[in-house]
This record gives sequence, C-alpha cells and structure tokens, in this order.
Amino acid sequence: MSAGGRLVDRAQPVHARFDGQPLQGYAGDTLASALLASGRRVVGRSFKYHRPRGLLAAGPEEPNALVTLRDGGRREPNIPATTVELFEGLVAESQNRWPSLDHDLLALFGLGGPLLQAGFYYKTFMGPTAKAWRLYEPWIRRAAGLGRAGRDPDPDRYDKASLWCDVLVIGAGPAGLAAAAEAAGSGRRVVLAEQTPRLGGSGLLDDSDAVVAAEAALAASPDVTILRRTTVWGAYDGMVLAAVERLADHLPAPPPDLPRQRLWRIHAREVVLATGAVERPMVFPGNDLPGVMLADAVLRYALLWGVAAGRRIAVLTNHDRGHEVARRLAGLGLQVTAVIDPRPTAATAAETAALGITVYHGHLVAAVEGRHMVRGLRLAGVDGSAGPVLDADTLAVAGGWTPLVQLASQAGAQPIWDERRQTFLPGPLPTGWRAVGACAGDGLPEVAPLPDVTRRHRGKAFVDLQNDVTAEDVRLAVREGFGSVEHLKRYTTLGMATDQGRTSSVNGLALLAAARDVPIAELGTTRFRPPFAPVALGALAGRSRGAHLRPERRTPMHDWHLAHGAEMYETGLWLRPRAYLRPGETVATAYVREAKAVREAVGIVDVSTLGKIDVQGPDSATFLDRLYCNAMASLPVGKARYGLMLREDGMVFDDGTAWRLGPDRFLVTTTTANAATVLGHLEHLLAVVWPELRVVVTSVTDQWAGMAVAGPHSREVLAAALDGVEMSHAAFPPMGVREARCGAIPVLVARLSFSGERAYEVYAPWTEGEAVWRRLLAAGEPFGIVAYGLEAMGALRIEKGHVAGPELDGRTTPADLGLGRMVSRRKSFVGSAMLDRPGLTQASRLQLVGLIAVDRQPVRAGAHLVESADRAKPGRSLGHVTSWTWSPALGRYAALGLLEGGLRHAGRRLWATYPLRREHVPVEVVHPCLYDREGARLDG
Amino acid sequence: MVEVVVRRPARIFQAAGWPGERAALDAALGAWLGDPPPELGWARSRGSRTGMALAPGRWLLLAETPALPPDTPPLLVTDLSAARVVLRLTGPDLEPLLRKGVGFDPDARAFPPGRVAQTLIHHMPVLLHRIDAPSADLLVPSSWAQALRDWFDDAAAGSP
Repeated sequence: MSAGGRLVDRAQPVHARFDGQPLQGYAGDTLASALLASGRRVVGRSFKYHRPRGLLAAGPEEPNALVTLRDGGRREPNIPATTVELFEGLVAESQNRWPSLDHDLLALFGLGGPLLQAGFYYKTFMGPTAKAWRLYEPWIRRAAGLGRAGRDPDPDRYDKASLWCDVLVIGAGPAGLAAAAEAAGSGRRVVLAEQTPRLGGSGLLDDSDAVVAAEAALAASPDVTILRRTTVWGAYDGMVLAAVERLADHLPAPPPDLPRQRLWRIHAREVVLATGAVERPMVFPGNDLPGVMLADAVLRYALLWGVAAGRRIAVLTNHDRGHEVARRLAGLGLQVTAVIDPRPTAATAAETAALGITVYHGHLVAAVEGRHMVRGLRLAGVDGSAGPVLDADTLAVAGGWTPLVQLASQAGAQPIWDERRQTFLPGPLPTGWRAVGACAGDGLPEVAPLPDVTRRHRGKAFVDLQNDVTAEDVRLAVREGFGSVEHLKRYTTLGMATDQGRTSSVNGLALLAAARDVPIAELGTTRFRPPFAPVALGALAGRSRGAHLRPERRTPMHDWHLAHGAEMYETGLWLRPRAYLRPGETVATAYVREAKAVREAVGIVDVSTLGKIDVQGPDSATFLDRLYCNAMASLPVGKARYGLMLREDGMVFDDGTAWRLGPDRFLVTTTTANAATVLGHLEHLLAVVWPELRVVVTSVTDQWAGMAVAGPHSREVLAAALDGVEMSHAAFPPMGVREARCGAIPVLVARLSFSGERAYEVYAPWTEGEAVWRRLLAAGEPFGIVAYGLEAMGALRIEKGHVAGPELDGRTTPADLGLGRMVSRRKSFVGSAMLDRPGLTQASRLQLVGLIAVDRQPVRAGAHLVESADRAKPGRSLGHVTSWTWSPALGRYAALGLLEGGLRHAGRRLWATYPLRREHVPVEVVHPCLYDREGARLDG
Repeated sequence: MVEVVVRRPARIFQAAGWPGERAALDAALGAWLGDPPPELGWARSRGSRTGMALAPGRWLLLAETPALPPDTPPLLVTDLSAARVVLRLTGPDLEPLLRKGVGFDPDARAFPPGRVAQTLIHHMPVLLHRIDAPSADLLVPSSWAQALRDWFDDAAAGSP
C-alpha cells in the first residue's frame, strides 16, 4: 500500500538483506511485513516435504516463515519472521532449501509423499531393519529439519533476575491493560509482560489512541513494571513463572552495557492470563500454498504495516467476524473479491455483498491452484457438488479462534471444549489464576463446525504446517491404534514443533474426533509443558558461563601460589596448587622435586581447604564419641586423634582429626570435599537425633588458614618461626596440640602427619594466613624448604597407604580399608548397628591393597585387576585401582587398589587392565603402606 | 548504580545458647550490645556494635572496634573475626542488583532496614543485612569474598 501502517514510520527507511538480496522496509516493520511488502511470497520450505511456504500469520504463532538471523557467533536459526523487528543491516536467510528457496531440489521428497507419512521412521528403521537406520540417519536428518545453529561461541551477555509482584498480567492487549490498570489502582505491585514491542494487542487494530492513554497511565505508576518483548514461557509450582526479555534482539548488536536477553523468574501472588487468542486456519487440499493466510493477519499487515497481502483477496470463513474482516479490508482499499462461507446464511452477508463482494454460501475451498503461490481457488459445495473456480492470489482464512491457554495448562488447568465457539477455553484455573479477554473466550465469535473436505477432495491437506502433518496422517494414526490425543501427538508429531501447535491443535482434534466418531469434548487436549515458546540456551545459562560458571573459593595464600608458578587445580570449588612449576618444569617433574624435598628436607603445603568445625558445649565429648567409630571422649586436652565417621549403613563417610582444645571444646577437621556435608550431618544429628545434647557446631573453615610443614627438618623450621611453644619430641609428641605465636600472630599447632614424615599443621587466622606462610618459608630457607602441591601430597600419601577420597567411595567399611582396628566395640556410634552384617564382613569383600608396577608402565586409577596375562582375554575383574602415582621414593609406579580378599593376595602377580587405553600392566600385590612401614620417620 | 565497599569489622563472634535460658542469654547479649537483643531475623545496632539474630538461639555479633566477646556462660562463643568479609552495597539500584542473586524479595516493604537473612548468591552462602533503603551489608565467608565481588561486578555490568 502506498500509505498507512499504524506501526511504521515511512520517513525512516531501513535496509536489510534476505538470502543475500537487498530488502527495504521502514522503522516499525517486522521482517515478515517487509518481505510481504517486497512481493516475496515464498519465504520458507516445509520441514519434511520441502514444499514452498509463505506467511500464514502476523504474530509469534507463525509456523512457516522461519528464518536464520545474523551470522558467526550470533547466528540463530528457526526464528519466525513475524517476530523479527527490522533494523538497519539485518541479515536473514531462509532455511531447509537447497540450492535456493525458489528452486529447492529437496522438494523431490514431495513426490515420495506416501513413503514419508506419519510413523515413517518407526516402521522403516525399527525391528529387523534397525541397522539401516545408522546408514540413513545422517542423510535423513540433513534433509528434514530446519535451520542450522552456528558453531562459533556466542559473544553476547545474558542475564538472570527475579521479580516479585502481587499481580502478573501476561499479555498487554485491551484486557491485559485493563487488568493491569485495575490492579495498579488498588495499590498492588504489578508486572505487565508483553511479548511484542508494542502494548495494545488487538486494541491496535481498533483504537490505538486508547492504547496510548492506557500505556501512559501504567508507565506513570511506580508500582507497575512493564516488560516489553518479554515472553512468559513457563508456569511452575508455587506461583513461579519464567519469562525471557529480549533486550537487544531488535538491535544490530547489544550495546556494551546491555545483555542480549534476560531470564526472569517471576514470583506472583496472582496471575492474570491475558494472552488472547490466535486465529485458526482450515484444513483443505493445498491449504499450505503461499497466499493462504489467516484473515486476521491480512488485516494486521494492512492496518499496522500498510502492506497489502495480495491484489485479489478471497475470504474463507465460518463465522460473522470473517465477514467483518472482509468488509474492513475492502474499506482499506484492498480488492476483496469473494467471501466463501460454508454456512447456508450469515447475519451480515447483505452488508458484505453491498460492498461488491460475492458471498458463496454453503461452499468450501476444495483445491488451491498454483505451484508456488495461489493462482485460483476451486470451490465445492458442502454437499460435495462442484463449485466455481475463483480468480484470486490470496485466500484469507478465518476459521475461528484458539485461546492461548498453554500457561494455564502448564499450571494444571484442564481446558474445556466450548461447542458454540468451537474451541477450548481455559476451564477452571488453579488458585490465584484468572483469565481475561479473548483468552477467556470474551468476544470470540460463534463458529460453525467445519465439514471435513479432505476425504472427498484429493491433495495434501495440512493440519500442522510446521511439522508437515496432514489430515491423512491423523487418520492413519487412528487406523493404527494411536487414537488418544497424547498418542496422536507422539505418533504424528502434531503440535510438537516450536510453535507448539498454536494454529494446528484444534483442527487436529477435530479430525481425530471425526475419525473416531466421538465429540471433540471427549478427547480433551494434551497437557502443555514449558517452554511456551523457544528459549535460547544462553538465556537459560545466564551469566553462569566461562569464568562465572561456578564461583571459586580461594585460600589466603592464593596470590602467593600464583606468584610462585603454581598450576592451579579446581577441587570442589576450591582452587588449589597442583604443583609449583619452576622454569623448564612440567607438573610431572615439579611434583617429583617437591615430594623428594619433603622426604629429604622439608616442605610446606596449603591445607586451608580442609573442613574445620568448632564443636563446643558440655556434651561435646559424648557427641563426638557417638559420631566417630573410634573413641573420642577419652582424648586428653592438648591432643588430636585421627577419626573415622561412618554412615548409618556402616560404610565410611569421612575421615579427619579431632583436636581437644578444652574439656568442652574440640576442633574437628574434615576432608575438603565433604566439609559442608559433614557439617550438615552434625547439625542433623543434633537437631533431630540427639536434641538433648548441649553442643553447638560452627563452621570455622574460613576462620583458620592451614598449612602443613612436613619433612625431617620440620621441627627446626617451626622452632625458628614460632614462639611460646616447646618443640622437643618429649614436650610436643606426635598428635600433640599446642598454642603458639608466629610473631604477634596467635596460631594453633598440631603434630599430625599425612606424608609419613615428621610433620606439623599450623593454623593461623585466615587474615594472617599469608603472613604466617611467608614466615615459615623464611624460617625454612636454610633447610631448603619447598612449597608442594596436590600432586606431591598425593604421591606422599599413596606411598604411605593413607586413604583419601578415591578409597572413601561410599562402598568401603573401616575393615575394607585396613582400619578395622580403629572401630570401638565398647560403645555405640553412627553405623555401629550395621557393621556386623554378613555382607559387610565376608572375606571376599574388596579390600585395600598396595600395588607396585613390575615394569615401567603406569598403573592407572580405574584399571581393573585381573589374573590373566592375556590382554585380549582378561577374565573376571577382581577389583580396581583407586589411586596411582609415580613414586619418587620407590622409583616406580605405585598404586592403591581395592581387591577381592585384599592382602590374602599379597605377593601375587596380577594385571591392571585398562581396555580403553589398551593397557595391561603386571603388578605385584603388596601391603598398602609402601614406604617406611615401621613409621620411624614420623619421629624424625 | 551500586557502589561496593569491602571491609572487615574488627571482631565477629557467633554466640549460641539454649532457649530454656532465654533470660540469661538476653541479659548477656544485652550487656554486650548495650540494648536488648534483636528479634529473630532482625539486627540491632548500638554505637559500634551490632547484633543479628540468625536462628533460634544463635546470634552474630559485630564490633567495629576491638572488643571482647560477651561473658560466657550461658553463651557459647565462636570467634569468626577472620572468617567473614563484609561487602557494603550502596546505590539506587541496590534492589535490582540483589534481585539478580537472592531468592527472596528485597523490596524495602518486604525486607526493610534492620532485617537480616541468610541465603545463597550464585552458590555462595551470604548473610544479608538491610541497612537502609539504598544500602545493605553482605557478610560472606572469607574464601568466597573475591568470587562474590567478581559476581557483583559482573551482575552490575548489565542494566537493572
């Protein structure tokens, strides 16, 4: 049209490209309205048959005109052109065609039509022919389908946030605007979400001044949040709804400070569903040809964007509002040639005819003529008689309205059939929900049921345009026994495309009802599930990606580690040094140097990540006695003890130490990985199991920085660095706990060893951690102190046969780990009741052993232990390798493993087999303590 | 626009006790705070000291200048002075920023000045204390402090 269009500004031309060709529109245009204005009829190819398709709708319900936008990392496929706001420089491509939209060789699929009917995959490639599937799958997947996603990383930012409101109004048409105004007027907090850029909905077609006034009033209210370009796509329990706001999709690229999209989690006390209704097409042969459109869309394109959908328009309708649309189109200067109405009469037919429009009562469209677009319409009487052929290039179909009840359905509502309007209405809604406007059926016209023309007249008649499901597919499904709505959906894929069957569901149900000869009301609808509309994965991820995927916990010595060559490793959420690399070193060489230094001189390791729990109160000792499998109440003040906690079922849960700081006070340490779980376990026991115990547990993990100083010279280092503590063996024996000072900094010191060397753990306030670390390093310099990381720590503990996470795998008992002697038989504790179950005591259980490589091949964790020397026939698994290292002390690969019967195999040769790596390594079974079994080195 | 200032109060103590000894607990806490202790879910400040009631029988005590813990018993006190960092958030966009991270309504009508709440922000445990309309304190375990700071910088980069 040469003028008009309430949404476009003809003074502002906008230039885009579609399939490489220039496309001009105006500010306010959508890609769809610009394509239509440019005369482009074919805008996409169909999913399965590659049939040419044009625009059906003007809104997000569009099933045909899916395009791929942008390129590189911003490439995004399958976007309805009706939802794309035109901007300068927009690049869009059509999809699912080769080599081009107008000449798509893949349309040959259309010729093989009957082969590709519903259930095609199941029938052809299941059962005896299943192997063929592997052959054909890639080829079929390439041919069928839609656009391709890009492979480059998405450069844009996505955001997530929550909103709380009294009333969430979904949809800003006249009913939604009124509901929002009413709620705001009563002082409630309102969120109004509208999926298009403009408020108003159908109001824009009638009285746009009223819309502007309503919008201004809402915008002035401080308690109203208006979210434009926002689709509410999920309804969840507890009145929580999910929405996505497209902040920058209408711009060439997001401005630097703006995320592309924001995911909203909306907590509402009340939900007002004002989502409106979408118009329904009709099912007849050739109903997918470009030029067959929804009548409401034809009117919108003309009124809102000033675009004439065609030069000779016929209207096909089964209700009076269809006549009204025909007259409005004529009033806008469009040439409307005919109204085809299956009803014998229509109330306003005379008004229609008065405008020079021929009304064909009692008629339907039996076929559409044309190959790539509508050239003419062959009518037929509803009684099957032949009808005239009309000259038309556009058929505007008004087949009734379908309220958008999906969100209510997600929330649990069961839509109910309304015979008068031939549609499903929301039905009884959950508490807190209400529907208003067209979504509730208000203002929807009475609609005549449609006679089925698809049995009588030949040609593909489409129900679901996006998934290429035909009327015959529906009947086939019924013939083959898939006659419930849920089965029909899965067998034919009807309604399963990205448009969720907005324009197809009711027509599909009508055909199903006819095929089964039952009323539609009896069929019901499928239960809708989120998302209501496609949501970009980026929006779901939000800011949780890259460096922000998970937060990182840092110890106070973090910066020191980095400054000294540490290669950091994420364990739990902590960042810990794996090894400190000197120039020319790799982790493999650095850890060997570090471990040797610990055995020969002295080393220091950051153990701040260990869980630390302050346990205090008059019943603390009793509590710990019940918690650990070994005795704790007898622990004297000033001593520490290694402790093992079991689960209720008798399996080892966690290990650590308990330091008795006073008669009623302990410091309990846990493994790094289990810190939070252990604290939760303790709190649960105190709150639920033994509420009578007067004990308080508090995490002090972040209060204390921890560092272990280990090696023959560790005592000298501490003696030089600390004051106020006597370091002699007699005054500070193994397992002793002492208070001391490092300069002015108060520290706690315990003589504990994980490495088998004489060692001390020094705990300093977190804020002083780095200072104490540096002082210890300075004091150790004359002794050749080195900082060591996780790899060296692991090697040292494997050499000593100390268990850690890989051995505490939830399936091992204390006896399995060689710690059976720790279990007290004189008290009850968590897990004690279950320890004597036959299954936990049988001799064939997997038990801890040491493993030494016979030759120089690595023995990897995860390898299975077998008796056979033949890699091809390894035989039964007798156990597996849990931890492994190249042992600097032994000069060969060493490992810990869990083996059936454990040390009964000591001295035997087995093979560690790792089929994925084709490794089959001979090993000797030995005692798990591989180094200094007498423990002489503990005392220096 | 929200400004983030990181600080460490001079002393942070956790104090705990049993409900059966309420009067004695209140007396000990009141003596330390110089005011009756706050109700559950609230903070009360007097001079340089603040008390927060986190759970039944559990309080967090902050002193901006060096101070001794309250007299025990009946309170059991744990020193957490090095275990927490305070992020003071101030600015007109405080609520939009918080809405990106917390799972409860930070609107001043629902979460008024003086209220405290323990919650998670991006997996990190935090204690949120509303100071006044445009500002709030976030207490975070020391090991998370840098990550939480990074999270706020990133969250603030997008418009509210």
